[in-house]
Amino acid sequence: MDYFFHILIMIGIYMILALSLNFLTGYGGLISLAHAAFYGIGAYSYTLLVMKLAIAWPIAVFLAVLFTSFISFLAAYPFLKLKGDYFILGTIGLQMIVFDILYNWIPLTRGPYGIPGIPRFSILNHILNSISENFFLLAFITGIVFVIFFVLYKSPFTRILKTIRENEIATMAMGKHTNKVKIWTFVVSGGIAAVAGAIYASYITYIDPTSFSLDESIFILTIVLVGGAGNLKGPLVGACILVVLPEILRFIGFPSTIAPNIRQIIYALLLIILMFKRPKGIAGEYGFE
Amino acid sequence: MQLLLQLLVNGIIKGAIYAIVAFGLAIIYRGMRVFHIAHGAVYVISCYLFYTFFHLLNLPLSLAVFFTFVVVAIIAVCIELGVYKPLFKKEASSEIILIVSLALYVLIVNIIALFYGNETKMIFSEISSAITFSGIVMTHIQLIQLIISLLAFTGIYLMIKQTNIGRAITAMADNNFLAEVIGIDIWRLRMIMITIGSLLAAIAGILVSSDVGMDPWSGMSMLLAGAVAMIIGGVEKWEGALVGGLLLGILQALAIWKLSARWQDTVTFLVLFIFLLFKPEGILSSKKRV
Repeated sequence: MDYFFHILIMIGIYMILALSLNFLTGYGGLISLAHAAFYGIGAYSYTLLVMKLAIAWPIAVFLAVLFTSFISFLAAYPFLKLKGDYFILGTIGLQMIVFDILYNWIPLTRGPYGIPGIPRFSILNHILNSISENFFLLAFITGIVFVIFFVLYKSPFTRILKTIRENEIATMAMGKHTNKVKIWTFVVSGGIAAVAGAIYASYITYIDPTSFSLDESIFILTIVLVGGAGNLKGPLVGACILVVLPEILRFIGFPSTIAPNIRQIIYALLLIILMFKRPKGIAGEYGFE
Repeated sequence: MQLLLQLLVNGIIKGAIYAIVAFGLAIIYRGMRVFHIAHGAVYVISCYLFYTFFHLLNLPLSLAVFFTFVVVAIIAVCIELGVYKPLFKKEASSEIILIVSLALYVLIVNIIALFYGNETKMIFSEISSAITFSGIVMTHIQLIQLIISLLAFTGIYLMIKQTNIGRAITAMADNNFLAEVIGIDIWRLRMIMITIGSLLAAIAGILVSSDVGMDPWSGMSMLLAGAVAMIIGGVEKWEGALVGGLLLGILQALAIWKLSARWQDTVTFLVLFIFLLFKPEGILSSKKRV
């Protein structure tokens, strides 16, 4: 049963990540390979706030989100000028720089050793040590994020964002501040990724930079593209499929040494086939035409 | 001072390797309109092919290099026919082509890891002998790297400038549609371009793997260095790859001098951001296209 809850928690974390990336990629049409960077900044800032400054966890989550949003606000500026291939290359660059900082700023992040012993979330002085208790709290948080995006995806703001995706110059001509909209999209997308980071850190109780590498960014983007970009259900479908798939492989009985490679081969094949046959993904709305 | 000179020499050697990777990438990017992330995978393939032919099968060096080239060329043509050509015919957007290329990279690299394992492999176990020019040490392999990569760059550069095929490539790079209009067989030319580009990656793969060995994940950093070199040098000019590659190699050397080798990627991408923001057309180009 714990195993079942564990899978659900991981699906929840990736749903949050996929929904927030979808805001940028599906609605904004901006393909980002830096999402794991914001996920990592969230996880690390939450961890440091909780462990070094002993701040209560809900405030720490809030501050981590605020801090990550601020970083994405700063990061957004150079990306306003970039388009297409250069934009994607730029996000890879951002991802590599953040990874380097997490890996090499040893006094703060302990670098490759990672940070162990992160406290779990607690309610009224009761620390949620069992997986099922964690599940219910995290399901609640995921639910809140879900509602935020449910409202956000239908908002006038997102309609402007979609217009920019279809034709940026026409949107400018209609008198919309396209740059402002793009910056806020970055801020929201990065900030919500920090929520996933905080959940991950407190649930796993250990973080190290390899959880927030370029491979992870590729994985999150794969979730959005396989599930489908540009609507609410696409990322949810994607997160379910791509988190459950490796578990099925485990039951089939691949040896654990080659399992990660087989998993990535399957993701890559899935992505190639979908991009050929159905660029909108399984349940998506937008296919980068 | 001695240290700085030594690092600069190392930087130039590394930069020469980046230059040929960037040159291959530029031929494919400009001529085929493909941001070929799988170029990094082709680089890794050639490392392992050379390892297989030379180290595992004990073939003589020339034969091992020859077979590596042949197989890489076949793989390159397969990638074009199986992946890029169908996408181009469907008029897929550049985003989709890039994502497919990225997926192809992940696919190839993981297949290699399945066969050869994830750990680092060496071709030569003993340390290469060194020569000293007024205090600056250079191993023989480094010297060979520098000479071969500069020769390869010059060779392909002259081919592009002097031969008919080369001129057709430049025509394709400048304007895909006009090239077709004036009667260039673009599908044949695309195959030639991806082959030339991949062979340049293969030369880089053989040179680097003979020196520091290989692991399946080394392709991404080489690809990114090549892409950054291509952009900062100037995509619109073939010489841009050489200028960008050498500049990047030297800047990374300076980063080692002032900071440490761990911050190399950060320096690479800070340079990229600075160029994208302030001189997006690169050093040599005059046209602006971002």
